[in-house]
Amino acid sequence: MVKKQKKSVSSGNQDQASYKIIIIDDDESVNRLIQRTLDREGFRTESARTGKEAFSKFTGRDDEILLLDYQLPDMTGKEVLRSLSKKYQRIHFVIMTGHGDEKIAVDMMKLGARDYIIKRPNFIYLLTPKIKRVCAEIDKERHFMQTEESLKESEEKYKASFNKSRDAILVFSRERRIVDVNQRFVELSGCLETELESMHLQVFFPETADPKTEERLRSMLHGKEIPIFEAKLLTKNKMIIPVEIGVTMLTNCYDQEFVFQANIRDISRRKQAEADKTKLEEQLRRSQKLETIGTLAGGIAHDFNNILTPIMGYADMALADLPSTSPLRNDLEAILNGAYRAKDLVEQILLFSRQIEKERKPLGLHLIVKEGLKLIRPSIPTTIDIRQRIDDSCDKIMADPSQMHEVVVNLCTNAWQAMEEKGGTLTIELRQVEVDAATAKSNPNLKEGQHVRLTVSDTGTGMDDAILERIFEPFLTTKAVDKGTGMGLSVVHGIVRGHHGDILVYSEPGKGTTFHVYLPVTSSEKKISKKELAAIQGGEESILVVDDEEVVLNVVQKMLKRLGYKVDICNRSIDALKTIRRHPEKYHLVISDLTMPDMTGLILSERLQQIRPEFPTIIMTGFGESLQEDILHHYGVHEVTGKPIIIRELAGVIRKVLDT
Amino acid sequence: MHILVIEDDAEVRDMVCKMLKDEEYEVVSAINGREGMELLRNESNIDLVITDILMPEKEGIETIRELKRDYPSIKILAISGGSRFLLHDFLRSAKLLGADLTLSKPFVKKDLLKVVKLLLE
Repeated sequence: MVKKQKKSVSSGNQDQASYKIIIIDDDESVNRLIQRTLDREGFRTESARTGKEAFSKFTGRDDEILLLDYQLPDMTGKEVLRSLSKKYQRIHFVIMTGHGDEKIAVDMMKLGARDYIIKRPNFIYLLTPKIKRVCAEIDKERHFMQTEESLKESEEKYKASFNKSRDAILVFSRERRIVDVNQRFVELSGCLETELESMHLQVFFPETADPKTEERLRSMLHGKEIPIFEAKLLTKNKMIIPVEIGVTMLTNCYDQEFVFQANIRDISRRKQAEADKTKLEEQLRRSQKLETIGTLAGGIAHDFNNILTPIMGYADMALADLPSTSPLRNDLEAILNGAYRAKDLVEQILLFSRQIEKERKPLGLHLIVKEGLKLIRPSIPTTIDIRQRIDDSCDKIMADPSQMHEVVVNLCTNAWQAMEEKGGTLTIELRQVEVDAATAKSNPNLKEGQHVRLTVSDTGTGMDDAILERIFEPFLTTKAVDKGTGMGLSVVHGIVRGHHGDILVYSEPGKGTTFHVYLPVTSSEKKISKKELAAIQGGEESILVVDDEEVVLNVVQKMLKRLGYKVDICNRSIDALKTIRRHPEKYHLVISDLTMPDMTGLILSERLQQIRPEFPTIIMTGFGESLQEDILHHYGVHEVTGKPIIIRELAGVIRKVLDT
Repeated sequence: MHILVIEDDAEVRDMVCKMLKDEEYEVVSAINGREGMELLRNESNIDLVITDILMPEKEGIETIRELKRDYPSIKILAISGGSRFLLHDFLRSAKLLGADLTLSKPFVKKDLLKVVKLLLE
């Protein structure tokens, strides 16, 4: 028993030591009695005799309990409390009153006294249990407050992470109704937070109607985890955002047995990057496929031409030998006709495989477009409305006019034929555009810079993806058997690619098709500023320029004169040779075109070396022409400069030749 | 007038020879550039060489270069039906290297005679 009691005392001591009792009583003997009693019980104590003294002892800590006599010499207990409560929010106190003052005690209880003690004789025995009970009560309160505080804190932390999460978070009930969302979801959905309350999930994920998602959620209810899945989020503005969703089940939250928390991540950037990559790969693959077909077709064309040669040649000769009355003439003419048709077809294949490279010159594409349109206009049905937006001020391109003509006619013919049955609008547009870095990056065949863009659109039948994919492949035709060979677009593609351009196509079944042809503008006619010109080194030597094209001659002559040279021009290589023979020392330099009808630039150079060894010569080469070093050396050529002629380049090459 | 025809395709070669012989030209033929050059060393009276470009043994391009170097006065006519493997126009190359004229296959007699006459006039 004793042991047990001791134990309880000691354990009580620990609790009681955490409280300080401030005894306020002017009755010295009572004050001391109380202090002694409480000290013995293990409380920390202090004593005060007046209200004023009490103020100095009380520090407002939560472990202080005032044991307050009501009647003090300087003020009442009520006044003490009123004073203290101005400064402190929470004051624990127990009131002591004399016998017969029970009413006061009750009043003080109303003011928040923890308990009251009537100072009857022997009241001291009641004191300790009362104080202990008060301590226990305060303990409980403090514990409760602490718990509440930490709960509040963790809730705040959770709220912060919930709201600041980069992922949109959506909490929904078993009935798929929204229970809570975070800030990111509000932004993503485009809804106001108030609108979202108890909205059905289906508004944002029309897919939840799909049984797969239902099944997923159901299996979650059975404790299964579902992997992160991709979905499409429909926003308030009817935008569709690709998202990645991970769903977890929460139990006993939001006053519900089960809720689901969906973490939603916007993956539109990733999706875009993936799509871009796929598109680029697809383009590359298609372009490589076309190159391969081109190479194969080119090979077949060669053999085919060899086969056609005797068929055509002999049929023609036989026909010539036959008398005009021979019944065999018709047969032979049929053979010959067939052979001619085959010849045309092979030529188209060669065009597609870019094996026919004709001379190119600076060309205003608008003239070709207008001319082409004039040509096909009579064959276009009147149900088709033709609109032209052709910018005459586009820069020139380096091109073969007949091939460009073929491009225009082919694209326009295809376009109107797609509208032949129902009519529609054929739009032809020509304008100059800048291909920027981003466009060039997404279209491997296009280079950055100024381009002339020819656009041919129809409002006809359009094409589906399967046909679009193979649109430039030879022999692919959607037309009736007798309407075309299926080579048209392949030829266009071959020509455009051969001109260092690209052709892009957009089409939708039932709506129409648009072709964009991009061709790089030539830089030969770029205006050069005076400042730039000053930086270019000129000279005063005499130069003879030889080219069969008057245009080139004039341009080069003008350039050289601006650089200070004395210039003569000559449009036939034979004449140039004759001039030099007559005056071998007159010219310091000959600049000659490579391909000329009667004598090439190489031969001219060779002959010049015979007249005067080491005669300085520069050869101008056209688009796509290249000459090997040993060939140049063989013919005594000093330098080569490419067409289109750029003044800066030409000036440099001239000084290089004349100064060494 | 003496003409040397270098062509590996027998049917084409025979036909070209026939077309020319019909017009009273003196014609010799070779099946490739190497044989053609050998022939040329023995027959000094050749005025014109008609050569195919894509041939086994010795290609026409090389033949043209040698011809220009060794026999600068002999005229050259290059004939071709396009290339077999490369994205390249051989007829243009031939012209660049000194073939005086070119003719693409297939052709009929009058096409051939027109260019031959142009070269031999």
